[in-house]
Amino acid sequence: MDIEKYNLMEKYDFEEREEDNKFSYIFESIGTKGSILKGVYFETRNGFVYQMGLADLDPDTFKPNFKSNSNNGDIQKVIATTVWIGMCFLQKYPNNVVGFVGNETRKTKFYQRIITQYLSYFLQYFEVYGVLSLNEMEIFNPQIEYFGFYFKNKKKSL
Amino acid sequence: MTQQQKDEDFKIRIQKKFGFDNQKANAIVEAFDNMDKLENQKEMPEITPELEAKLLALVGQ
Repeated sequence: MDIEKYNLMEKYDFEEREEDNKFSYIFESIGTKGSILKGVYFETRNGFVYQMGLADLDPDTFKPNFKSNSNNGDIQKVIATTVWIGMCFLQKYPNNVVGFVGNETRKTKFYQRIITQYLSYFLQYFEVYGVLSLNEMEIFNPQIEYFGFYFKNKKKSL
Repeated sequence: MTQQQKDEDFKIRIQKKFGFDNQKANAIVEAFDNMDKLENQKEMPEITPELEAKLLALVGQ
């Protein structure tokens, strides 16, 4: 995927909220089940290594549910938006590392497929790492199955 | 900019973008504030001290 193609991928607009070392993003998924608000969250324990999570927001309380499977028929656009938010975050805060994982094997494999599919694009801007075990990681290799992923900025503008 | 100002700005933006009323915008800010209480529900990778040290080394820390 080249940047022109990526930029042509449909994405939702989003808004950012910052509070100390916590960053929250919100966008609206519009699909077969109607409108579902999504939240993307970045949190850190040390100010440099951030964990990213994607959640559906409860329609009444707006509390995030990280385990939902909304099946709104727009997964490509939701993932494209989430990836784009991650990329924008790393461009805005270039001295950070961002990690993410699916909370079930199916989701983690899906993320791995996305990274593999667009790896050449990501590598223009980011170093990509795969987590092998609780204390082991390596440069991302599409042939290896990982349970988590980290992106680090190469400090090149999108 | 203070956190209160940031939140007011955020609320105005999401009201404009998503058509929320002030009550909804307030509820979203409150839900975001309470994120820490939902720690165990997140889909985030576990970080051991060993892995954290390696990741910090990547960013020169």
